[in-house]
Order: sequence, then structure tokens, then C-alpha cells
Amino acid sequence: MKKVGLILVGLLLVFSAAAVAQYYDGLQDPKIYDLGSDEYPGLEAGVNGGTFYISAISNPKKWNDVTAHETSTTQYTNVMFRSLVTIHPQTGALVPELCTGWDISADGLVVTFNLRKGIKWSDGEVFDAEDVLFTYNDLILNEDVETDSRDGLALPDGTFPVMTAIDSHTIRLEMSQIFRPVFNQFTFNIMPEHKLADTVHKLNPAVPAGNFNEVWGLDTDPADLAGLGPFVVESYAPDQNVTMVRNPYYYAYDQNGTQLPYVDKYIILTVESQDVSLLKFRNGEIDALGIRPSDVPILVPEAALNDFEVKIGSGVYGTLWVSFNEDFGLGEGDPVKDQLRGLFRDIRFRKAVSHAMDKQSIINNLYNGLAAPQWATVSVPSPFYGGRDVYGGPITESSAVNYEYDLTAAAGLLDEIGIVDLDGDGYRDFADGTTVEFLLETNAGNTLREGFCLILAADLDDIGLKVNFQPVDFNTLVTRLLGGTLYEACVLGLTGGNDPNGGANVQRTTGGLHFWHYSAADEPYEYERRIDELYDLGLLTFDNDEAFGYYQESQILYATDSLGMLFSVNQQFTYAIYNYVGNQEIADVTATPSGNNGLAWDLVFLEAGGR
Amino acid sequence: MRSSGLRALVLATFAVAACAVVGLGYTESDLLAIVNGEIVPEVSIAAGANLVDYFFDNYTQEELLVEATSGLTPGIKVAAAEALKRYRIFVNPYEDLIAAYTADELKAMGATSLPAAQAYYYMIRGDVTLESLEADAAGIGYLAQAAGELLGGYYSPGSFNPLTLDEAIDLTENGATPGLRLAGGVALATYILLGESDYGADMSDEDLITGALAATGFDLGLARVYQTLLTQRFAQ
Repeated sequence: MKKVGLILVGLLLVFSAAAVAQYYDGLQDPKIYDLGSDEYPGLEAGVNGGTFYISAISNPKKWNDVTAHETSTTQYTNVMFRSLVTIHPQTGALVPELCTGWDISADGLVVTFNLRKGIKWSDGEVFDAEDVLFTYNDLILNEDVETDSRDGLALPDGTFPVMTAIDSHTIRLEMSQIFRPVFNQFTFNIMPEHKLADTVHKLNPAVPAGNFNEVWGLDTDPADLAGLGPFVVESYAPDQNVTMVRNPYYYAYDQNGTQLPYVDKYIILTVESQDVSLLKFRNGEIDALGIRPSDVPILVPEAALNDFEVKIGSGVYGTLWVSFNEDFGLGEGDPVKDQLRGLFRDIRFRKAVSHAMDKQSIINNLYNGLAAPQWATVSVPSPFYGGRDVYGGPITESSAVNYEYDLTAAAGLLDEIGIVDLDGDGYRDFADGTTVEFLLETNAGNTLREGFCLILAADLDDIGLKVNFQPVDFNTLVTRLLGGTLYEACVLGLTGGNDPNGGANVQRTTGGLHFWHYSAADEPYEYERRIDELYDLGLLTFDNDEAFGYYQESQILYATDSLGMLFSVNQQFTYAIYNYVGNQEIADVTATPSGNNGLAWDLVFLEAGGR
Repeated sequence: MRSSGLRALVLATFAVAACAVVGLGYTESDLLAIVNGEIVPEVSIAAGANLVDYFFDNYTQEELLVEATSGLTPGIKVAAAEALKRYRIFVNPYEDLIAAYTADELKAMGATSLPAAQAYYYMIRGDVTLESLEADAAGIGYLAQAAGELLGGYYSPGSFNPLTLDEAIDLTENGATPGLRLAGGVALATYILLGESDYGADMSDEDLITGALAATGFDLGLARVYQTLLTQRFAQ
């Protein structure tokens, strides 16, 4: 009997060991997705296997997430890396990611993060507090590093939170002031200290200053990259595709112990245009596609027959705007550029353009009615959106600052500035007789933005402004936009997010994306000073209602006095996805403002192996 | 044409009747007989839609490419085109036209060519509005037909301006022009595919084929609906 008992105990131990051995060796704190629970409603546990295909109309610019300024890069790096905290894919709330949780001191000045134990980088090296400190102290806060993540971390007194390690898996963050959005800001991706420390001049004087900004370019051997995200780069073929495979050390599992991501491979096909993407979706070459409104009537009738679904959701994060460079030609001594810059700097000009922008035509013609006029800097889905009356309240638009489509008002403002048609050719002129004309650029291949440019150019032609429209390559456009004095007028979009402070790098006068007026860092306008103040105040309270008041004022002030970006319309979310893709509810972009087609790639799976 | 139509009717209904007598579903042979000899496009397409596996298993990729573009009947083309998708090859009837012609040229060609008319509306679909499509579909000819097809995409459930089921049925049966009826038919067919309508459920397969024969080229909405229903029947 004793022998039988011992055998039974032995068997029990074997089975128990098998039950806990589901996680990779050494992982003690996996992130468990309890799919289908109240925490992740409407989802289900899936199966491993298959290859997931999507498309993109731009090549990545680099693999360096820290120095990335553009979605053509972050759509890849966002699945290669992970952050301390992240946004819940369904609710938009901040949740732990690389940490298991955090504690806030009673005075609100100290936050302690507890890191998950046993996580490994995709190359098998151990992740710990040193990686977090390296990323924060030696990269993000390093003035030598060209990153957009730094600006949003600054406290009103100009200091930054101080990060130290209490031990290998405990991070301490000390602030001189209460920093409300502290958790929002720690959504920057963590980089591997063991791979990159030697590339940073601060840590290795043997490399030149600014060296880190050049590392992990596209010529990097994928085997030299290392991340914590669900996928790693396997190969990159310019203008063809990026192939990513599962990270064998990804620390997330579902409730059944299945390691994520569910799919084995994730391939992004590079295409020339959105029309080609549509073709590939209908062909079954890609599994999911963010579609344009004009694609809806094409796809809906064939959806049931071809076993996919067209989703029309609510308003999206992000913006579509035209911006005039208030620093155009600054310091070059070119009188033509100086004249144009002077015009761009006149608020009456920007208001005139706002009045001339036929938003309803844009909505009808480009979005088939699936959009609404947008006026504010904060995304419509955000609880801080200025169209609400209170934090998280319903949208009433009672405080909206709208410039109605009114060509008479637009023309009147231009007359007031003093630019009139002197030679009778239908175009307005400066006092010296030079025609008022400017270059309007956007990224080629984006039919929505190109369409917007054409409508806008026609609108401005109606009020006597000569517009020379030119679509350019996206990465080239971004370079010009960030060049300070290069672009004249540009149509683009920004991704947006839940917390206004996430856009601090755009709104603050010292922000890395305050591209229409970089010289504001030295000589801010009065309203820019006030917006800076409001962004400071919004950080100093954990009371969201109070913070809402500050951010609403900043949005109103921006719309009345700044118009650095003239917003157009906010699109409703349209998406097409094949029914064999499990957990496609994750595709709701209102819950995933981080972009990347809105899908949480580690949670989707392919039924029956895919297509 | 009339005698051919009657011959086609004999072919399809023979196969259908035979299956009804035996009490079995449609075999590959039955569907092949239809797709190889059937004149009525909608019936041919319905059979072809259920022969994709057969074509994939029995034709090389090169043969499929030929059949998808030059196949003798619409059903053969559909079967081959769908089979080609498994090789990730998409035969897009519009691609060559769109690459070769401007919108204005396609519009001009669309007066006498249905593919050109369809390519024209595909190309300009981002520039149309509901109102402009409704106006175009109220016209006559291939352009009106292509406009009606795109308009059906607006009217389908889940799209921008969905008709109710009753509205879709009414437009299909009583629309003022073939283009408008096609718009109704596309919407109604979508309801059927979604399982949200039992329209035609009480019609026999023979009735559907007879109906398709009567409607083809003329009563475009009903023709589309019968095609959809037959596709489902032939799959059984």
C-alpha cells in the first residue's frame, strides 16, 4: 500500500510539474490573458499556428523604436518591443505589461513598479531593471538621443522623474511634483541594455556623439536585434515585405497555458497604394485591412459570400490636418520666403483657410459620410476631448470652436490682411505684386490625404490662393516636416491617444513635433505660453475633472489663437477582416489608440490554420 | 437566342430534375454539365461557384489562368478565378482597364462595354455620392447597370444607406429601371447570404432556373437574386 501511495504521489508530482512547466524555463510572472472573462470580454482562447498577413504602403525607416518619429516604423517596432505599462486593447485603460503592478506613495511623489520575474529577451538574455534604467536614463533622457518620448515626461518645474533600481526587479520613480499621467508616459518601449549600451556615447565614449541615432537601421542583421514583444524580425525585403516570427521567449500566455502570440508568423506586404491593399484583401492575400469608406460598398455585398466582415465603428483616434510652416525660410534672408512666412504667421490667414475648408464635401466625397468635423487637438474618443462638458462625459460639443464653411468670411479676412488680386488673374498678390502661392505636400499613395489636398486646393482657389499640390514619399515628407524651415504647407495626420499629455511633444513650444513653429522654443507667442502652462497644470493633479478643465481650455485656445494644424474631419472606423481570424473584436480602434491597424497581434489567431 | 435559351433550360433543368428524382445533391458531373453548356450566365456562375475545388484539383495554374480569362462560359471563368486565389493569383477584371484608360475613356467605352462601365465606377467610387449613384442607376445601358451594382453596395445591410429587407425586395421587384432593380437585388442577395431573408425559399430549383432565364439581361435585380439562391442550392 505504501508503495502504491508513493507511486501515486510520484505521479501527482509529475502531473503538477507538467502543469507548471507550461511557461518557458525561468519565467515566474507570466502575463496571463483570461480571455472571455470580465477583464477580456468577448474574446476566446485560441490555438497556435499559421501566418497572419497584412499590408503597408511604406517601408519601415529603421528598427530603432526610440528614435522613430513615424508610423511606418512604429507599426513594426510596436510588436517587437514592450513597455512597463500598456493600454488595454478593449477599454483603453492603462494596465501592467512588463510590470505586475505598481504602488503610489501617500504623497503621490513616489511610484514603485514591480517587474515580472524571469522574462527573457528574444535572444535568450535575461530582462531586468537594468534594461529599464538604461532605456529611461541613458536613452530617453539623453539629450544626445533624438526621441519624441522625452517631452511628455517633463514635469512643470522642468525636471524629470528620477528612476532608480531598488533591486533587480523593482523600479522606483521619484517626482518633484505630482505627475498625473505618469503611467501614460511609461508606455515607451524598453530596449536591451546588453545589445545597445555600447552604441551610446554617454556610456561608451569610443563611439561618436549621436551614434545611437544611427543604430538598428534597416541594414542591421535581424539576428542582431532583440526585443520583448511577441514578434521578431526574420527578414526584410525592401518594397516587398517584412517577415516576423514569434518570439520564443514572449512572456504572455492565455488561461490555458498557450504561449502567445497565437500565430507563428506575421508578414507585412509592402504595397504601392491602398487600392493594391484592397485588391490583396479581396484576393485573400491579406487577412485584415483598415479600409476607406469608398471600399465599403464594394466589400459589403461580397462579405458573406467570401467569409469576411466589414466593420463600421465609432470615431477614431487621430487627426487629419493641413499645417502652414510659420518658420518657413526663417533665417535664410530670402524675401520671397520671408513674405510667405509672414502670411502664414498671420492668424487671419489660418482662420481664412479654416473658413474655406469645405468639411462637408470632405466627409461626403472622401468618407462617404462616415466622418464628422474635427476641431480639437485631443482625440474624440479620449475622456479629455474638449467636446465633452466633463471628464469622460458624453460629447455635446457645447464648447466646440468651429469655422463654418464661408467663402465670404474667408475672403474678407484675406482682404483685411491686404492681399488682393492686383493684376486681375484671379489670384491674390502681395503688395509687391508677387502672386500668393505655396507648395502643398502630402504622402503619395494615401488616397484620403491626396483627395483632401485636391479638395482643399480647389477650396483655396475659390478665394484666390494659388496652391501647387505635390504628393511625395512619406519618409521624405516627414524629413521635410521636421526640418524646421523646409515645408510650406503640408497635409498629414497624427495618431492621437487617450491622454492629452501624450501629445505634449506636439503642443508644447519645446516639443519635438511642434513642427509648424520650432522657433517658439526661443520666442513663444503669448497663447503658446498659456498652452504650456495649461499642460503643466494638467499634470499637477490626480483629479481628472480638474485636469479636464485645463485641457479643455488648451483645446479652445488652440482653436482660437493657434491653428498650427487646421483640423479637418474625424473618420469613423472602417475595417475588413476574414472570419477565420479569431478574436477580431480586438480590431476596435477606439480601444487601441496605439495604431498598428488597431489589432493586438498577440491575441488574434487563425481558425483551422488560416485561410 | 430563344432556341439556345430553351436548350439551356433543358440542360440545367434536366440535371436539376435528375437530382430531385434521385434525392441526392448535385455531383461534380451535374455541375460540370451545367457550367459547360449553360447559356444563362447566372445559372452558369452559380454552378461554377461550386466547382472551385474541382478546378483547383484538376487544372494546372497555367490552365486556370487561361480559363479565368478566356473560359467559354461565365461559370468556368468564376470557378477558375476562385481556384487561382488559392495560388494567391487574383484575376481582377478591372485592373488592366484601369491601368490602360482614364476615367473619361472608360466612361465613353462603358456605353458599349459592361466591363468598361464596371471599371469606370470602380475607379471613381471614391468620388461618387449616394445621390449621384441613384441618378446614374436611373438611366439605361451598361453604365446605369454598373452604377446600380455599386449602389447596391450602399443599400446592403451593414453599409452606408442600408435598405430594410422589405425595401430591398420592393426595389428588386418594382424598381423603375434595370439599374435600380440591380441595386435592390444586390442588397436583397446580401440579406439572403447573411441568412436574414427567406426570399425564394419556397421556389424549387427548376423555378429558380426558369426565373433566371426570364430575368437575365433584363430584370437584373431578380437575376442576381436567383443567381445567389442557385449558388446555395447547388452547394447542397
